[in-house]
Amino acid sequence: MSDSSRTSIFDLLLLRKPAVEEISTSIAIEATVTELFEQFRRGMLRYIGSLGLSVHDGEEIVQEVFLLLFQHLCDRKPQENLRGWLFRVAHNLALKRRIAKQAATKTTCCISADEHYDPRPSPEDHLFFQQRRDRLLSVLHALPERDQCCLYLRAEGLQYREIAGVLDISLGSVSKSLARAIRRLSNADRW
Amino acid sequence: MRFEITHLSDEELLLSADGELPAKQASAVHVHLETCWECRTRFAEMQNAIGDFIHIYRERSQVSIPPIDGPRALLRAEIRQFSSASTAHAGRGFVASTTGGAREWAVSRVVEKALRVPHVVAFATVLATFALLLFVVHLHRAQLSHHASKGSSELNGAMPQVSLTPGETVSVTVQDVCAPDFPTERQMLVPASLRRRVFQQYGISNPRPDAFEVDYLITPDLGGASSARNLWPEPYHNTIWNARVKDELEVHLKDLVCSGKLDMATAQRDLSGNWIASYKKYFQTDAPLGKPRPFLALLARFNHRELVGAFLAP
Ligand SMILES: [Zn+2]
Repeated sequence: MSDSSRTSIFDLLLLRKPAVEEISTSIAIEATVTELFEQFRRGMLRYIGSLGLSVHDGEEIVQEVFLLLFQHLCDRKPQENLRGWLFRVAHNLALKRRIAKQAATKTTCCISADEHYDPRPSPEDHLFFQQRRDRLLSVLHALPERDQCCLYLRAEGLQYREIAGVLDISLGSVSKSLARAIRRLSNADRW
Repeated sequence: MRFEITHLSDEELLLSADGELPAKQASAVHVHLETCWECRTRFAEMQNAIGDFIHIYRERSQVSIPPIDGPRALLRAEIRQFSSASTAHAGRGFVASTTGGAREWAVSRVVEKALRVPHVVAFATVLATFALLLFVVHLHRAQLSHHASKGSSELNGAMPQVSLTPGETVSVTVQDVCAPDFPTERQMLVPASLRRRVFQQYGISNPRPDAFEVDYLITPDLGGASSARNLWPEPYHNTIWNARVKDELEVHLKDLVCSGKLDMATAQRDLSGNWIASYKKYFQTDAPLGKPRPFLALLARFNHRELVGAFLAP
């Protein structure tokens, strides 16, 4: 690893110095990180999955995000709204990975209608629900990606301010996106 | 007279339902909804659409998301490796293979930050002088305590006490162990309760988190058990025969076992007996092959608390 070869005695001393006081708190930080991991892993995996990445990719991204969180907390960076922070970092890493993947293999975004689904309604309901669900899905996937992301993040419980932070857009854009998306979904039934 | 009321927009309805409106506006929306069937209907439609969407979205959580235990253990292991890397304990963390971007990013960032500020170099020089001074003192003391037999297990610690940690195995076959999905030592995080018990047995109360690593004697990679009899507190200050060196031996033994050149029982015995002697035997050497760099070794010889403590309050 190139960092170690560049490491001089000065670097080491400087690295060691701030570490001293932080070590006593690193256990506490680890506990915090673990707790947040337990709380948000599932939702983050779901969100990353909505961006068209596999559970495996999602798992790796989530690991990376929480490692960065550990670093973030050790650096005594702002601690308010960690949920927004987690989703923002996850969002950015996911997009980065998706671009890398798309460059490698030409795939399209977002879950396809047949994937991830194991419907178990009673037989007579089956067709009706299936059709309705497919219609909703196609409307959902026809939405601009930003609108979709707003929906997914809102479904994960994020407030508008947090969503704006994750996607790096204005508050007004968030509410416009959401209202537009919901309007289109509700029109899906009128066909 | 404004009876031609403008209806509420979808956006206003949504903002109000999501509690995103300031109180004054929110109550205006509320009042309007009470009087306007049209807007109330639209509001209900939106509510339905949200419900539909949530149903679709929920299906996604029924996707086979693996249980949290493995990923959580992995995260904890990574965090520990990361914190030991950034504090350069015994030089081990730096040498340990780290591949994730986060760690490299973090370490290089600290170094970058350090290099940007000119006066830190002067500060570092002063620290380095102290370091050398302390090193001499420490070396002297270490020699003294080496002669005193008491507490040698805690000071040296490269080998566990046989009575406490004779080594223990679980029954696995060579096929199990050599299968690609067999969990590795890194994934086998030692639970906190077990760590406490190990420390207790070794009479170490309130261990500093940065002083010891609870290490497996027989690695789980070769069938070692996750039990107190197979674990011991290995001090980080060991710079020559440390856990990293032991890892080299473990990897080598596993290669031998999986290529059929060595039986597992022998490999386990070579680890639970004198592993340093085994290392010398298998690698035909008297010293670890991947030698620590001189500066790292030097620095790692003394406790950094001592160093900074001495610097701050000489
Ligand atoms: Zn109205």
